[in-house]
Amino acid sequence: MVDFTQGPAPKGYFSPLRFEADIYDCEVEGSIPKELNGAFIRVGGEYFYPPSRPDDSPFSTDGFISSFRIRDGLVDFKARWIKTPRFLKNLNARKQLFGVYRNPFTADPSNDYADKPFLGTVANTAPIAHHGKLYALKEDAHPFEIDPNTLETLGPWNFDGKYTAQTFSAHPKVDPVSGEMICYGYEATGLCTDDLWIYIVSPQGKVTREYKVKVPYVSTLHDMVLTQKYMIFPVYGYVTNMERLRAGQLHWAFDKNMPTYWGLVPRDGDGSDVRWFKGPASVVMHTINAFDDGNKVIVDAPISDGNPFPFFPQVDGSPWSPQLARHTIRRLVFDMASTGDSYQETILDPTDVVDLARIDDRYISLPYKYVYSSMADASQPYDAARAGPNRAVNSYFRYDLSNGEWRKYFAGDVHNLQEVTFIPRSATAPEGDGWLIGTASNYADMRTELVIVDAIEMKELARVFLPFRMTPQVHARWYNNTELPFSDEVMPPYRGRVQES
Amino acid sequence: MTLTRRDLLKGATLSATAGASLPLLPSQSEAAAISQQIPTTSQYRQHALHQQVPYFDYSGGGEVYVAPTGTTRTADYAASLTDEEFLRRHWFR
Repeated sequence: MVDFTQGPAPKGYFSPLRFEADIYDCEVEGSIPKELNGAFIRVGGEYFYPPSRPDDSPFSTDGFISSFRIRDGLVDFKARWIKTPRFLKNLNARKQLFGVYRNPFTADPSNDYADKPFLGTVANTAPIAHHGKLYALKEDAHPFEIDPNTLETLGPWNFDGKYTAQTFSAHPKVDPVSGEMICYGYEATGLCTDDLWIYIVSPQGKVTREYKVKVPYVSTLHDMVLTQKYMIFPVYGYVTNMERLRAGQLHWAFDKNMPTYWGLVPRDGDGSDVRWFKGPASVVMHTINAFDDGNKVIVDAPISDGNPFPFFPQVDGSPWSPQLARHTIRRLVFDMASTGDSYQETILDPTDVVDLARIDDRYISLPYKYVYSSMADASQPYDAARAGPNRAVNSYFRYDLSNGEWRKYFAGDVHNLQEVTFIPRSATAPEGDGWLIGTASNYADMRTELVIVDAIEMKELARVFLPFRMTPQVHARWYNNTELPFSDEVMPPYRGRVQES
Repeated sequence: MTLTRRDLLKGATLSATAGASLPLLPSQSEAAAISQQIPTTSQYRQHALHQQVPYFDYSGGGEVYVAPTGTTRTADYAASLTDEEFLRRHWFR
């Protein structure tokens, strides 16, 4: 029998929801821009069955995908579990059969998948659309294709067998110039292997190129950046090995003594020409953007000096440090004309930001101006009596890299925002001309709200109210009706009986 | 002692010490049979929150999660009823 009373979230806003949902014609306040025709698609997770051990990472939660389908100023909401082999196997057994975070050695004895660790994936991290297909991603397995209209799971996809790495990234990049998707898998040949395999997928969905690279040490390669010349991969602080896994530990621990490496792989090379640069310990879980500047490569990212995740232990047993977990927006400069292996790192602004930073995706790999993310703005009011005492990320911001200007949008005094997404007003609109979209957890009224904000004025245009709280996402993306084959039907056609007379 | 969901709503939350004394549920203990032998963490734990993600904090350094009061006062309602009255109104458990 399922019981969550001993789980990490037995009550409150984050207690398990467990349902799938359809809300037709959602309640809207304000006016949704008529130009918006597409869907805001979120991927996150929660435990459908309690974790096998209380110290499991929340990154083991079962994948859950939801969609705010928007057109003609109206919104329909849909949410579904991602039907991974793990989800289905657990449901069939009516209990948790899988081990702690990316460690098959801790699974139920009846469930041995150590030689196929990808079978333990929960596909709970990010959505991406490319070549007209929608996928849910997690970095320990192949992407799971999802029907963009029904959100039903269509299964893992290996690009007609041409994608041979066992794993895929949560954050591939789509080159706005070529339309290609640059994707990769680390631990590509099995648990704890030092293989990073990189693939180019054409706009038609075909694998056209493969690069094989060895990393300096096995670590999290959660995100990458792209320029027109290079594919760039950070390697940092989180470590693992088979002994650790066989001893029953979570996949990652943080070692503050490990340096940060940045691997720059020439796009026109074959992977053997990767160049590694070395710097002090840091964590670059997410990136912002990169571009070429003559012989230099510029990389921007929200970077912390220590472990940002308190549920991944320190290898030396030291306590987690909230101070070292702070993220600031930093610029790194790699001089490709130099013969050394060092790089310059500059903190562009000392303000604490959430590391889920985004840009106008039309500028991926190109010079750009605006960074968008969220922050806990202490100057704004917060109703702790209604919303609880925990810190709330209450504002989205736009940071102008050309002059350091900040613009902010405040979501409300009982709200906690999730990752922001920028939507351009049109394909030809100038950078930054468009809208911000994202969901907010309303802690007081226990519901999820979608906000749509003018990205220049940073003023709210519309708010969509769900009549319940929804699992917070990990990542979300907006895709318009030219990127995915969205149906204009509100719901599937009625096929029941009709009274004729 | 077993913790029912109603007890939980009334406020019998899993504090660090109470959590250690409560029996594991069969579904959990079964899956955790091997891993319980592994001394991975201390016995101390707190309900914690990180970027809207709930987890058990063992280090004492995490942000302790305190559920918001909200406008739905389930806990107050559940606590206001005797067990007999609660079962009369809600035949399920």
